[in-house]
Amino acid sequence: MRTLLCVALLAVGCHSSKPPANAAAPASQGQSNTQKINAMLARENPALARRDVAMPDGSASAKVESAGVPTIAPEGDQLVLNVPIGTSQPVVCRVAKQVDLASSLQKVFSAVEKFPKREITTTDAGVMHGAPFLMLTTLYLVEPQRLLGQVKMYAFRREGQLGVLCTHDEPGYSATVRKVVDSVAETLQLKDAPPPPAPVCRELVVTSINGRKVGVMSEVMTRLKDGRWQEISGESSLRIATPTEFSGVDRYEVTHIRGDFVEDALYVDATGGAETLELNLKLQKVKPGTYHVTGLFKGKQIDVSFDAPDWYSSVKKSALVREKILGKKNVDLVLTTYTPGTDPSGVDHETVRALPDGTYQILDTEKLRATVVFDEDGQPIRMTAKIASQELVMERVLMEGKCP
Amino acid sequence: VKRWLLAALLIAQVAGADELSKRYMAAVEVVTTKMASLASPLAMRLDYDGELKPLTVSRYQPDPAAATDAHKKATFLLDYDDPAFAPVHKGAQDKLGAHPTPEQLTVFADGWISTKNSIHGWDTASMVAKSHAGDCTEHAVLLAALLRSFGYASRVVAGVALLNVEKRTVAFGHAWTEVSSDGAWRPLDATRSKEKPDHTWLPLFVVANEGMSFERDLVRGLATMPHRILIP
Repeated sequence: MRTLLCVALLAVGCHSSKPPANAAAPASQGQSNTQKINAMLARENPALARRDVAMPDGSASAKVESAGVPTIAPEGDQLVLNVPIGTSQPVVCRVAKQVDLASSLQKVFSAVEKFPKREITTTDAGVMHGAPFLMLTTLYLVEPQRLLGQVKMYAFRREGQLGVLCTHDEPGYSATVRKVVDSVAETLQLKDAPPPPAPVCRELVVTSINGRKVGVMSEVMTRLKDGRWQEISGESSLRIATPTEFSGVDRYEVTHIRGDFVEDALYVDATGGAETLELNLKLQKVKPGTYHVTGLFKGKQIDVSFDAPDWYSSVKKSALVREKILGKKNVDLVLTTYTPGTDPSGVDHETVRALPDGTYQILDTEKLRATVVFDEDGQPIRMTAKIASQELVMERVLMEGKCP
Repeated sequence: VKRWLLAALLIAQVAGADELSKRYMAAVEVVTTKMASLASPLAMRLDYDGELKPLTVSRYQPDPAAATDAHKKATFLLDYDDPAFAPVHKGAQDKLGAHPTPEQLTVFADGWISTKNSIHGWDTASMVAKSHAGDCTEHAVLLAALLRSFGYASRVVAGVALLNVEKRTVAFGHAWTEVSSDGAWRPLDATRSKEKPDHTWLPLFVVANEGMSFERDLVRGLATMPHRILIP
């Protein structure tokens, strides 16, 4: 059975413009039909059981929740895991070495965009068995038949090992699908995957806007053999523009730190996919206090240098917050920052403020400020800010190890 | 922490708006007992996180700073000198002649952006020229660059637009273009190219930084937006 999903994922072989058979849910007017639709969206299948699935050569295996025999097979450079859940459509999980969480959801969503009547109904972000994940659910209406469809999509990744995109294209079964995806995240093993990294610390932060979880950030700190720190940061966010459209944002930073300063860094914005990189910058310290940046920014090649003798690394900044802010009142600490996504040409400043009441703020400007809660190590664990009518909350959901 | 903050704010530029706000930035709550009369003069109070500032407008009120030669030059944001922008200028010239009016260019810019969506952040003019897509900011940037490419002094402004839509008064964070003529700035809105912006377009800040760091200053400008608008 051909589905919308295969249009999105394969981009070949699904040329039919007919409505998907799995979307066959009545959407006509009337109270009874509304109740019928609500009941359809609320249906679940509690009768799942753990079942083993593996590639014949043992290269991949999992023990997943399913209502039938799950299968796994290679397709190009991916593996495709089909998990029956007792519905006309299985949960389909595509396994790859790397998945850009937000962009992959956007690619799936693009198949639904041909239906003018659609709505993003649910988003979620967080951690699933240690893996950062994003989720989005969308309803769509196929006209003129007035057939209701629903796609649930999850993307998660194990840092440096694998990424997975799971989808289910049929109304209802939200909790059932979640249970399946959770079991995949828990048990999927790839024989040839690199060994899991052993960082000094790993942190995951979830972003919410007006209570809706829309983004997840990860930060991994590793001590290299030569004594430097390696800091890998990732940010995946769903920019929900309207109920019918969103853009997926995926950004990455790899920073090497020696002593109190950044030695070199790589900044990549993979929004929209690798073929449309807006930001792909390489920064190098050329001498103490002087940095050189080259690469792509907003579609233009740039080559700039700037002086920033007091631009400290994140490690040094945390130490300064511990020393000068934590437990203090009526104190300001001005820190030099570099945020190439908004200005690659030079540094800027932020102020960390200890208020008289014992709380803390971070200020970009007096108008642009956030309330911050630090842990005892000077690491932020929660930040809230308000802009126009929107409240932003960024909150740590996972901390493994102890960051410097 | 700042990386957190800026990342969140860039997401928030478009988040939370509803279907009516297509082509606009973040929604601003409007408090009114009924659908307000937006006739001139219009009295209101802008709520800046509890601090209420009265405002009465009877006509469009631009920032009075005079136009200079800088408002005719290509910049990082309004990069009409980028080869990718050339088809826009040529297209306008072929269709409208060598001396189009600002109003003609407004309609042309509206037509160039064939995909009206809200999934972009702040794209440069050359990016819009290639993508043919965007919301109010892309319309404003493309039109400002197009005006400059024909020798007009122009600038991008951001603020709030008040509208009566479906029996309710709504306000949106919005961006549009201003062109200088006869020593004064007047508004042009390529998202509503067949209408003339009036006193219900409230310019709150001029996008003065058109360099590589323009987006940083835009985020800061966005932070100066009122949380609510109260109309008696």
